Amino acid sequence: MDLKKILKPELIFDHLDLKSSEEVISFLAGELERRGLVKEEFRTAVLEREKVFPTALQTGSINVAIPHTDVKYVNEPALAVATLQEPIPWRRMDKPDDLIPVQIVFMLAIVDPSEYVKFLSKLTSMFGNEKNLAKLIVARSSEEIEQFLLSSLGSQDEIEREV
Amino acid sequence: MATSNRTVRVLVVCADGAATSTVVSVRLREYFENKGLRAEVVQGRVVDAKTIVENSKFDLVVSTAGSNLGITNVPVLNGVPLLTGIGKDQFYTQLDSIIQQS
Repeated sequence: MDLKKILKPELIFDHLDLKSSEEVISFLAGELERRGLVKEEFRTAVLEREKVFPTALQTGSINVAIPHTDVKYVNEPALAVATLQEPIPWRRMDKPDDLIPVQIVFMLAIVDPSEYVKFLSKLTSMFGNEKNLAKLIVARSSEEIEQFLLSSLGSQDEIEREV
Repeated sequence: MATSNRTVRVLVVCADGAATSTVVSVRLREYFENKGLRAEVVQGRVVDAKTIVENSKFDLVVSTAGSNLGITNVPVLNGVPLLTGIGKDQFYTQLDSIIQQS
């Protein structure tokens, strides 16, 4: 998996001023769709899936969500990233009845899970370190977030080697 | 250890049986390998979990999509700690105790 290929500044948004998980999902899915990375049905599929299987992860004082859906709605592997102006209530993956405030969202567009797994593994490991998440939410530009993710998720070569 | 001469069977489930269960399965396989335990880690979808454990013998189920799967005869562990790393020591302690008892 080529990290540089899926991490694009134009798909990274800082301090989005949105009020609900549905708004965030619709916005990010729209950006993926506009670039032909996902199919038209992707947005609805993620929203529907989220109702039954929500994706917020309790990671400490800064929580993250990883909305995604079935591979059949995806054209190319991609990632859309957003930090939020204000935390938004989002339902927990492991306790779907519990709402937690989410401030960082990684929308995953997965084609081949076995290819995506190394990246996803590194990404989720990063969530365990609150300092990383704190750095992400203070970043003031897409480029700053991109650089931070590139450095904390390891270089492209490193990821290639481990696959 | 008495458990080392048999194969531990784990069913790992997530909503679509693709994304988070893949990460959790990889981490579990690494864990078993490091412990020198023979293990079979099978991936599936949450909606199929109950049927799968009814039709085949599993020592435990690990789910990233909630633990309320309607399964009563096999222990179900929350797999999210293996995604984020938060609470993973506790997870492995529970896992070890289930393996020793089964």
